[in-house]
Amino acid sequence: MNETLKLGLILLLIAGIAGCLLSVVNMVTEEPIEAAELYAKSSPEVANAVCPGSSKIESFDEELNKTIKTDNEKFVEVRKCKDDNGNVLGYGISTLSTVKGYGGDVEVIVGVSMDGKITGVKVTGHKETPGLGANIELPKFQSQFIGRSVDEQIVASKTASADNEIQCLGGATYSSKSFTSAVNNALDIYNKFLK
Amino acid sequence: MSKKIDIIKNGIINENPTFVQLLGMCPTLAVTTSGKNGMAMGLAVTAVLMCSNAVISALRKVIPDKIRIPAFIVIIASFVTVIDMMMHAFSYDLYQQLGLFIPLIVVNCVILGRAEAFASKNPVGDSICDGFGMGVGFTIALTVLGCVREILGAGSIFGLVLFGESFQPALMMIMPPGAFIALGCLIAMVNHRNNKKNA
Repeated sequence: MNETLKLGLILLLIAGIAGCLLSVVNMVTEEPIEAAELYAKSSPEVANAVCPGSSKIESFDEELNKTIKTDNEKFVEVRKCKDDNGNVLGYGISTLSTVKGYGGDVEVIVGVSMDGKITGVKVTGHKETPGLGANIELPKFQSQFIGRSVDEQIVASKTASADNEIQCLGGATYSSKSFTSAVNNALDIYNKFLK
Repeated sequence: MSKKIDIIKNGIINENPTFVQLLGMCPTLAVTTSGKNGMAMGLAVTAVLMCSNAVISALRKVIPDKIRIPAFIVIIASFVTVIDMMMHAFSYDLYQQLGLFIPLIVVNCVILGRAEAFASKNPVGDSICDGFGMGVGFTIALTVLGCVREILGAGSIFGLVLFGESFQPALMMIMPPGAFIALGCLIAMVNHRNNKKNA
């Protein structure tokens, strides 16, 4: 009995010290993590990637965001892309994918210009396989989406034979389809609320 | 001093965790789709291994034999979580690429293996050297494997494109079967070399 108690106490002590250490590190890293997450979503580079020419991606109209959210559960946020002079160049629509990828939902920002064309796509969160599915972040894949009109849903296929089709990444069909579903969801949102 | 150098060399060459001991196969096969990923994973493991070896060695007289495994796991898991949070905070891009595999370092058998086999029986200095040697050995193995797979499977090295447009990469090499094939060939080469040396 005595020994059991002793062993338990030692383990408790080790776990306690480990817990303290972790809470200290958590305190130190909490703010930088938040800042890094925020920066990854709204830095000038992101604005420019989503909507070339813009340098800011800013929130607007909370009511509209709430309305879209109740209608479309995968929707995250819609923001305006502006250049240095404050001219609105387009919308940046953040959304999750409606079809799951290999490691859950993919989160993207889709840039749509005021005249209804996709200007850019940026992946802001994913858990796809490095080297395969994670290649949805590469321009080679994403450039297939740029310039397309919002009027037509995009289909991910292996051959990309029709006009509205894009070619899946080799070895990453799930990730490609998931990414495409997120873009399509953004187009739906645009057509329904922002047009 | 020379003993410490021997310990480090032992980890890198004679008892290389990947090529000779065949430990930690899960991350080895999973993350080595590119040279950069392999190297980053190796360095993260090295950091955890050195810290956990040091602490476990320092506590080796305090931790009773009967509860050593849970105690080791708690120590290892804490360091992995620290690395995970640090990476998330200060190296966001890398975290995006590797984040999925970092928590898995907890169950990497290289780390528990070295805690059991070395750190729990040797003084702190030697244990840190052992952690360093094993970690570097693991890093080299993962980097080499990652580079081989990246060159053959994607036609690039550390993200730099090596060949022109006409090069058709063997996609299979960055898919799971390619990991087994490349690893098998590398282990065969290492064994061949060792056999020759011993003969």
